[in-house]
Amino acid sequence: MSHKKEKDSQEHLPAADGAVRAYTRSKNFVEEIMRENERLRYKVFHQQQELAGVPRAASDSHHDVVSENQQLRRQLEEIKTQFEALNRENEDFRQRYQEVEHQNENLLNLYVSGYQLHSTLNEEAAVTVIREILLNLVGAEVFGVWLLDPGTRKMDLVNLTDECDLLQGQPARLSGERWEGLRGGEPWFAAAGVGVPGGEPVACIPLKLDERTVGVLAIYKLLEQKEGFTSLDQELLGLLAAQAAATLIGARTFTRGGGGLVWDPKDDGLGVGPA
Amino acid sequence: MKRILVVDDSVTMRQLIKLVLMKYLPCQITEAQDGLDALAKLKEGDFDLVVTDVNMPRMDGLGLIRSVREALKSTVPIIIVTTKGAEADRDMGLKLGANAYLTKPINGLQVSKTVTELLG
Repeated sequence: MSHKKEKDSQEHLPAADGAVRAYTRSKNFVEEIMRENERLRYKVFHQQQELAGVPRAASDSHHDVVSENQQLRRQLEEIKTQFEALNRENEDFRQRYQEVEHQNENLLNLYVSGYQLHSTLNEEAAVTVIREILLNLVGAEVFGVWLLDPGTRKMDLVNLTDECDLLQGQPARLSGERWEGLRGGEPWFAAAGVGVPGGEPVACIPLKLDERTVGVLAIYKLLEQKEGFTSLDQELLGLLAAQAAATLIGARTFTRGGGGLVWDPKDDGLGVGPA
Repeated sequence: MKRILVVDDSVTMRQLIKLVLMKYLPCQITEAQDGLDALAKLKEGDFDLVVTDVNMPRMDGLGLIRSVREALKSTVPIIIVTTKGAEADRDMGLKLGANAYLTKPINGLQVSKTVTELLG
Protein backbone atom coordinates (compact mmCIF):
# COMPACT_ATOMS: atom_id res chain seq x y z
CA MET A 1 0.00 0.00 0.00
CA SER A 2 2.64 2.35 0.99
CA HIS A 3 4.68 1.34 -2.00
CA LYS A 4 1.75 2.06 -4.28
CA LYS A 5 1.38 5.50 -2.78
CA GLU A 6 5.04 6.20 -3.31
CA LYS A 7 4.75 5.01 -6.90
CA ASP A 8 1.75 7.27 -7.50
CA SER A 9 3.60 10.09 -5.96
CA GLN A 10 6.55 9.55 -8.21
CA GLU A 11 4.24 9.42 -11.22
CA HIS A 12 2.64 12.73 -10.23
CA LEU A 13 5.95 14.64 -9.59
CA PRO A 14 6.54 15.87 -13.14
CA ALA A 15 3.05 17.31 -13.23
CA ALA A 16 3.66 19.18 -9.97
CA ASP A 17 6.90 20.59 -11.24
CA GLY A 18 5.17 21.89 -14.26
CA ALA A 19 2.53 23.50 -12.14
CA VAL A 20 5.16 25.08 -9.91
CA ARG A 21 7.03 26.37 -12.92
CA ALA A 22 3.83 27.69 -14.39
CA TYR A 23 3.00 29.26 -11.07
CA THR A 24 6.43 30.82 -10.85
CA ARG A 25 6.26 32.15 -14.38
CA SER A 26 2.82 33.53 -13.66
CA LYS A 27 4.06 35.04 -10.44
CA ASN A 28 7.02 36.62 -12.19
CA PHE A 29 4.81 37.86 -14.93
CA VAL A 30 2.38 39.39 -12.48
CA GLU A 31 5.23 40.96 -10.56
CA GLU A 32 6.66 42.35 -13.77
CA ILE A 33 3.28 43.75 -14.73
CA MET A 34 2.98 45.26 -11.29
CA ARG A 35 6.43 46.87 -11.57
CA GLU A 36 5.56 48.14 -15.02
CA ASN A 37 2.28 49.41 -13.65
CA GLU A 38 4.14 51.10 -10.82
CA ARG A 39 6.60 52.63 -13.26
CA LEU A 40 3.83 53.85 -15.52
CA ARG A 41 1.87 55.24 -12.61
CA TYR A 42 5.00 57.04 -11.47
CA LYS A 43 5.52 58.39 -14.97
CA VAL A 44 1.89 59.48 -15.23
CA PHE A 45 2.17 61.16 -11.87
CA HIS A 46 5.23 63.12 -12.98
CA GLN A 47 3.69 64.05 -16.28
CA GLN A 48 0.59 65.24 -14.46
CA GLN A 49 2.83 67.24 -12.16
CA GLU A 50 4.64 68.75 -15.12
CA LEU A 51 1.40 69.51 -16.93
CA ALA A 52 0.03 71.17 -13.84
CA GLY A 53 3.26 73.14 -13.31
CA VAL A 54 3.66 74.70 -16.82
CA PRO A 55 0.65 77.03 -16.78
CA ARG A 56 1.46 78.16 -13.26
CA ALA A 57 5.03 79.05 -14.24
CA ALA A 58 3.73 80.93 -17.26
CA SER A 59 1.26 82.73 -15.07
CA ASP A 60 3.96 83.56 -12.54
CA SER A 61 6.25 84.78 -15.29
CA HIS A 62 3.49 86.95 -16.78
CA HIS A 63 2.76 88.37 -13.36
CA ASP A 64 6.43 89.17 -12.85
CA VAL A 65 6.62 90.89 -16.23
CA VAL A 66 3.53 92.98 -15.51
CA SER A 67 4.88 93.91 -12.10
CA GLU A 68 8.26 94.82 -13.53
CA ASN A 69 6.57 96.81 -16.29
CA GLN A 70 4.56 98.77 -13.73
CA GLN A 71 7.67 99.41 -11.71
CA LEU A 72 9.53 100.59 -14.80
CA ARG A 73 6.61 102.83 -15.74
CA ARG A 74 6.69 104.36 -12.26
CA GLN A 75 10.44 104.88 -12.58
CA LEU A 76 9.94 106.40 -16.03
CA GLU A 77 7.34 108.80 -14.64
CA GLU A 78 9.70 109.74 -11.83
CA ILE A 79 12.53 110.28 -14.31
CA LYS A 80 10.23 112.37 -16.50
CA THR A 81 9.24 114.49 -13.54
CA GLN A 82 12.88 114.90 -12.52
CA PHE A 83 13.82 115.72 -16.10
CA GLU A 84 11.10 118.37 -16.34
CA ALA A 85 12.21 119.84 -13.01
CA LEU A 86 15.82 119.87 -14.25
CA ASN A 87 14.72 121.50 -17.48
CA ARG A 88 12.88 124.21 -15.56
CA GLU A 89 15.91 124.68 -13.34
CA ASN A 90 18.16 124.77 -16.39
CA GLU A 91 15.97 127.39 -18.04
CA ASP A 92 15.98 129.39 -14.84
CA PHE A 93 19.78 129.20 -14.68
CA ARG A 94 20.01 130.15 -18.36
CA GLN A 95 17.90 133.24 -17.79
CA ARG A 96 19.87 134.14 -14.70
CA TYR A 97 23.10 133.61 -16.60
CA GLN A 98 21.89 135.96 -19.34
CA GLU A 99 20.85 138.54 -16.77
CA VAL A 100 24.25 138.28 -15.09
CA GLU A 101 25.93 138.55 -18.48
CA HIS A 102 23.90 141.68 -19.27
CA GLN A 103 24.82 143.14 -15.92
CA ASN A 104 28.46 142.23 -16.53
CA GLU A 105 28.28 143.92 -19.90
CA ASN A 106 26.77 146.95 -18.32
CA LEU A 107 29.47 147.06 -15.67
CA LEU A 108 32.07 146.60 -18.40
CA ASN A 109 30.54 149.50 -20.35
CA LEU A 110 30.49 151.59 -17.23
CA TYR A 111 34.05 150.67 -16.36
CA VAL A 112 35.33 151.57 -19.82
CA SER A 113 33.24 154.74 -19.89
CA GLY A 114 34.38 155.84 -16.45
CA TYR A 115 37.98 155.02 -17.26
CA GLN A 116 37.83 157.07 -20.45
CA LEU A 117 35.89 159.94 -18.89
CA HIS A 118 38.41 160.35 -16.11
CA SER A 119 41.43 160.01 -18.36
CA THR A 120 41.37 163.63 -19.50
CA LEU A 121 41.08 167.17 -18.21
CA ASN A 122 40.70 168.59 -21.67
CA GLU A 123 37.14 169.74 -22.38
CA GLU A 124 37.26 168.83 -26.07
CA ALA A 125 38.60 165.37 -25.33
CA ALA A 126 35.98 164.88 -22.62
CA VAL A 127 33.23 165.81 -25.08
CA THR A 128 34.68 163.32 -27.59
CA VAL A 129 34.59 160.58 -24.97
CA ILE A 130 30.97 161.43 -24.11
CA ARG A 131 30.07 161.28 -27.80
CA GLU A 132 31.78 157.92 -28.20
CA ILE A 133 30.00 156.51 -25.18
CA LEU A 134 26.56 157.71 -26.27
CA LEU A 135 27.01 156.52 -29.84
CA ASN A 136 28.82 153.22 -29.29
CA LEU A 137 27.64 152.03 -25.91
CA VAL A 138 24.15 153.47 -25.60
CA GLY A 139 23.24 153.52 -29.29
CA ALA A 140 22.23 157.19 -29.47
CA GLU A 141 22.48 158.71 -32.95
CA VAL A 142 21.33 162.29 -32.38
CA PHE A 143 21.99 163.96 -29.07
CA GLY A 144 23.01 167.20 -27.39
CA VAL A 145 24.86 168.06 -24.19
CA TRP A 146 24.19 171.27 -22.30
CA LEU A 147 26.09 172.66 -19.35
CA LEU A 148 25.03 175.39 -16.97
CA ASP A 149 27.05 178.58 -17.13
CA PRO A 150 27.22 179.71 -13.49
CA GLY A 151 27.77 183.33 -14.61
CA THR A 152 24.79 183.73 -16.90
CA ARG A 153 22.69 180.97 -15.25
CA LYS A 154 21.89 179.70 -18.74
CA MET A 155 22.42 176.30 -20.31
CA ASP A 156 25.15 176.39 -22.97
CA LEU A 157 25.10 173.82 -25.74
CA VAL A 158 28.43 172.01 -25.36
CA ASN A 159 27.97 169.52 -28.15
CA LEU A 160 25.38 168.51 -30.70
CA THR A 161 25.87 165.24 -32.58
CA ASP A 162 23.50 164.99 -35.51
CA GLU A 163 25.12 163.32 -38.48
CA CYS A 164 21.76 162.63 -40.12
CA ASP A 165 20.81 166.34 -39.74
CA LEU A 166 17.59 165.45 -37.97
CA LEU A 167 17.49 168.72 -36.03
CA GLN A 168 18.91 170.89 -38.84
CA GLY A 169 21.08 172.69 -36.30
CA GLN A 170 18.13 173.67 -34.16
CA PRO A 171 17.76 171.39 -31.15
CA ALA A 172 14.34 171.74 -29.55
CA ARG A 173 14.52 173.97 -26.55
CA LEU A 174 13.89 172.29 -23.27
CA SER A 175 11.03 174.03 -21.59
CA GLY A 176 7.87 173.61 -19.60
CA GLU A 177 7.15 170.51 -17.56
CA ARG A 178 10.09 168.55 -18.93
CA TRP A 179 12.50 171.26 -17.94
CA GLU A 180 10.97 171.48 -14.49
CA GLY A 181 11.37 167.73 -14.18
CA LEU A 182 15.03 168.01 -15.12
CA ARG A 183 15.52 170.85 -12.70
CA GLY A 184 14.31 168.47 -10.00
CA GLY A 185 16.94 165.96 -11.15
CA GLU A 186 14.53 163.44 -12.65
CA PRO A 187 15.47 161.73 -15.94
CA TRP A 188 12.80 161.21 -18.56
CA PHE A 189 12.57 158.50 -21.23
CA ALA A 190 10.08 158.10 -24.08
CA ALA A 191 8.60 154.69 -24.76
CA ALA A 192 10.26 154.40 -28.19
CA GLY A 193 13.56 155.73 -29.44
CA VAL A 194 12.43 156.93 -32.85
CA GLY A 195 13.23 160.56 -33.43
CA VAL A 196 10.97 163.08 -35.12
CA PRO A 197 12.52 165.78 -37.34
CA GLY A 198 12.66 169.02 -35.41
CA GLY A 199 10.84 167.31 -32.59
CA GLU A 200 11.22 166.78 -28.89
CA PRO A 201 13.93 164.59 -27.39
CA VAL A 202 13.24 160.93 -26.70
CA ALA A 203 15.25 161.06 -23.48
CA CYS A 204 16.44 163.80 -21.14
CA ILE A 205 18.97 163.04 -18.44
CA PRO A 206 20.11 165.64 -15.94
CA LEU A 207 23.86 165.93 -15.43
CA LYS A 208 24.20 166.18 -11.69
CA LEU A 209 27.05 167.20 -9.45
CA ASP A 210 26.57 167.06 -5.68
CA GLU A 211 22.84 166.45 -6.20
CA ARG A 212 22.63 169.65 -8.19
CA THR A 213 21.61 169.71 -11.86
CA VAL A 214 24.46 171.37 -13.73
CA GLY A 215 23.65 170.23 -17.24
CA VAL A 216 21.40 168.19 -19.47
CA LEU A 217 21.92 165.34 -21.87
CA ALA A 218 19.13 165.12 -24.44
CA ILE A 219 18.83 162.22 -26.88
CA TYR A 220 16.73 162.92 -29.98
CA LYS A 221 17.10 159.67 -31.88
CA LEU A 222 18.46 156.19 -31.29
CA LEU A 223 20.29 154.09 -33.89
CA GLU A 224 18.03 152.34 -36.40
CA GLN A 225 18.67 148.90 -34.90
CA LYS A 226 17.86 150.02 -31.36
CA GLU A 227 14.15 149.91 -30.61
CA GLY A 228 14.07 151.73 -27.30
CA PHE A 229 15.66 152.18 -23.91
CA THR A 230 16.03 149.13 -21.71
CA SER A 231 16.06 149.46 -17.94
CA LEU A 232 19.81 148.78 -18.09
CA ASP A 233 20.25 151.63 -20.60
CA GLN A 234 18.45 153.94 -18.21
CA GLU A 235 20.63 152.84 -15.34
CA LEU A 236 23.80 153.19 -17.41
CA LEU A 237 22.80 156.65 -18.62
CA GLY A 238 22.04 157.76 -15.07
CA LEU A 239 25.44 156.59 -13.84
CA LEU A 240 27.22 158.03 -16.87
CA ALA A 241 25.49 161.35 -16.45
CA ALA A 242 26.97 161.80 -12.99
CA GLN A 243 30.48 161.00 -14.23
CA ALA A 244 30.08 163.09 -17.37
CA ALA A 245 29.02 166.09 -15.28
CA ALA A 246 32.08 165.80 -13.04
CA THR A 247 34.38 165.38 -16.04
CA LEU A 248 32.95 168.30 -17.99
CA ILE A 249 32.96 170.67 -15.00
CA GLY A 250 36.46 169.52 -14.06
CA ALA A 251 37.78 169.95 -17.60
CA ARG A 252 36.12 173.34 -17.98
CA THR A 253 37.47 174.56 -14.64
CA PHE A 254 40.93 173.22 -15.47
CA THR A 255 40.92 174.83 -18.93
CA ARG A 256 39.55 178.17 -17.73
CA GLY A 257 42.01 178.19 -14.89
CA GLY A 258 44.82 178.23 -17.43
CA GLY A 259 45.42 174.53 -17.35
CA GLY A 260 46.53 174.61 -13.71
CA LEU A 261 49.91 173.12 -14.45
CA VAL A 262 52.06 174.05 -17.41
CA TRP A 263 53.30 171.04 -19.31
CA ASP A 264 56.37 171.13 -21.50
CA PRO A 265 55.27 169.68 -24.88
CA LYS A 266 58.76 168.14 -25.30
CA ASP A 267 58.46 166.39 -21.99
CA ASP A 268 58.00 162.62 -22.35
CA GLY A 269 55.89 162.56 -19.20
CA LEU A 270 58.63 161.59 -16.79
CA GLY A 271 60.33 165.01 -16.70
CA VAL A 272 63.99 164.93 -15.81
CA GLY A 273 63.56 162.22 -13.22
CA PRO A 274 62.96 162.08 -9.47
CA ALA A 275 63.46 165.31 -7.52
CA MET B 1 46.64 131.77 -28.33
CA LYS B 2 44.62 133.54 -31.02
CA ARG B 3 45.83 136.86 -32.37
CA ILE B 4 43.09 139.41 -32.97
CA LEU B 5 43.32 142.84 -34.58
CA VAL B 6 40.76 145.36 -33.30
CA VAL B 7 40.28 148.35 -35.61
CA ASP B 8 38.29 151.38 -34.40
CA ASP B 9 38.99 155.10 -34.24
CA SER B 10 37.28 155.24 -30.84
CA VAL B 11 39.59 154.35 -27.96
CA THR B 12 36.53 153.61 -25.84
CA MET B 13 35.26 151.10 -28.37
CA ARG B 14 38.67 149.46 -28.80
CA GLN B 15 38.93 149.02 -25.05
CA LEU B 16 35.43 147.64 -24.77
CA ILE B 17 35.87 145.14 -27.61
CA LYS B 18 39.23 144.13 -26.18
CA LEU B 19 37.73 143.45 -22.75
CA VAL B 20 34.76 141.59 -24.21
CA LEU B 21 37.02 139.35 -26.32
CA MET B 22 39.47 138.69 -23.51
CA LYS B 23 36.59 137.78 -21.24
CA TYR B 24 35.46 134.97 -23.51
CA LEU B 25 38.64 133.55 -25.02
CA PRO B 26 42.36 133.63 -24.36
CA CYS B 27 43.71 135.93 -27.04
CA GLN B 28 46.33 138.49 -27.83
CA ILE B 29 44.82 141.79 -28.97
CA THR B 30 46.50 144.33 -31.23
CA GLU B 31 44.80 147.69 -31.73
CA ALA B 32 44.65 149.85 -34.85
CA GLN B 33 43.00 153.26 -35.08
CA ASP B 34 41.95 153.16 -38.74
CA GLY B 35 42.12 151.10 -41.92
CA LEU B 36 45.61 152.20 -42.96
CA ASP B 37 47.02 151.47 -39.52
CA ALA B 38 45.33 148.06 -39.61
CA LEU B 39 46.68 147.28 -43.08
CA ALA B 40 50.22 148.04 -41.95
CA LYS B 41 49.81 145.75 -38.96
CA LEU B 42 48.34 142.99 -41.11
CA LYS B 43 51.37 143.17 -43.38
CA GLU B 44 53.69 142.90 -40.39
CA GLY B 45 52.20 139.81 -38.78
CA ASP B 46 49.66 137.04 -38.94
CA PHE B 47 46.27 137.45 -37.32
CA ASP B 48 43.52 134.90 -36.72
CA LEU B 49 40.73 137.47 -36.76
CA VAL B 50 40.05 141.13 -37.54
CA VAL B 51 37.27 143.09 -35.81
CA THR B 52 36.69 146.41 -37.53
CA ASP B 53 34.48 149.48 -37.39
CA VAL B 54 33.24 151.04 -40.65
CA ASN B 55 33.33 154.81 -40.07
CA MET B 56 36.97 155.72 -39.63
CA PRO B 57 39.24 158.49 -40.91
CA ARG B 58 41.91 157.90 -43.62
CA MET B 59 40.66 154.44 -44.58
CA ASP B 60 37.26 153.15 -43.51
CA GLY B 61 36.33 149.56 -42.67
CA LEU B 62 35.03 148.74 -46.14
CA GLY B 63 38.27 150.00 -47.73
CA LEU B 64 40.20 147.86 -45.29
CA ILE B 65 38.22 144.73 -46.19
CA ARG B 66 38.70 145.39 -49.90
CA SER B 67 42.46 145.80 -49.43
CA VAL B 68 42.75 142.71 -47.25
CA ARG B 69 40.89 140.51 -49.72
CA GLU B 70 42.25 141.96 -52.98
CA ALA B 71 45.71 143.36 -52.26
CA LEU B 72 46.82 141.08 -49.44
CA LYS B 73 44.86 138.08 -50.80
CA SER B 74 44.16 137.19 -47.20
CA THR B 75 41.29 134.98 -46.04
CA VAL B 76 41.54 136.09 -42.41
CA PRO B 77 38.02 136.19 -40.90
CA ILE B 78 36.72 139.76 -40.58
CA ILE B 79 33.89 140.93 -38.30
CA ILE B 80 32.36 144.35 -38.88
CA VAL B 81 31.11 146.12 -35.75
CA THR B 82 29.34 149.32 -36.72
CA THR B 83 26.57 151.79 -35.92
CA LYS B 84 25.22 151.32 -39.46
CA GLY B 85 22.26 149.01 -39.11
CA ALA B 86 20.64 149.33 -42.56
CA GLU B 87 20.22 146.15 -44.61
CA ALA B 88 22.04 147.74 -47.58
CA ASP B 89 25.09 148.47 -45.40
CA ARG B 90 25.07 144.90 -44.13
CA ASP B 91 24.84 143.50 -47.66
CA MET B 92 27.67 145.73 -48.84
CA GLY B 93 29.95 144.67 -45.98
CA LEU B 94 29.31 140.98 -46.50
CA LYS B 95 29.62 141.29 -50.27
CA LEU B 96 33.06 142.87 -49.91
CA GLY B 97 34.23 139.88 -47.93
CA ALA B 98 33.35 140.38 -44.27
CA ASN B 99 32.45 137.14 -42.51
CA ALA B 100 30.03 138.66 -40.00
CA TYR B 101 28.24 141.95 -39.50
CA LEU B 102 27.36 143.16 -35.99
CA THR B 103 25.77 146.43 -35.00
CA LYS B 104 26.47 148.76 -32.08
CA PRO B 105 25.79 148.99 -29.23
CA ILE B 106 27.61 145.70 -28.99
CA ASN B 107 26.24 142.66 -27.25
CA GLY B 108 29.03 140.72 -25.55
CA LEU B 109 27.32 137.34 -25.90
CA GLN B 110 26.70 137.93 -29.59
CA VAL B 111 30.31 138.99 -30.16
CA SER B 112 31.66 135.96 -28.32
CA LYS B 113 29.32 133.61 -30.23
CA THR B 114 30.37 135.06 -33.59
CA VAL B 115 34.06 134.95 -32.71
CA THR B 116 33.79 131.35 -31.50
CA GLU B 117 32.01 130.33 -34.71
CA LEU B 118 34.64 131.97 -36.89
CA LEU B 119 37.63 130.69 -34.98
CA GLY B 120 36.20 127.19 -34.62
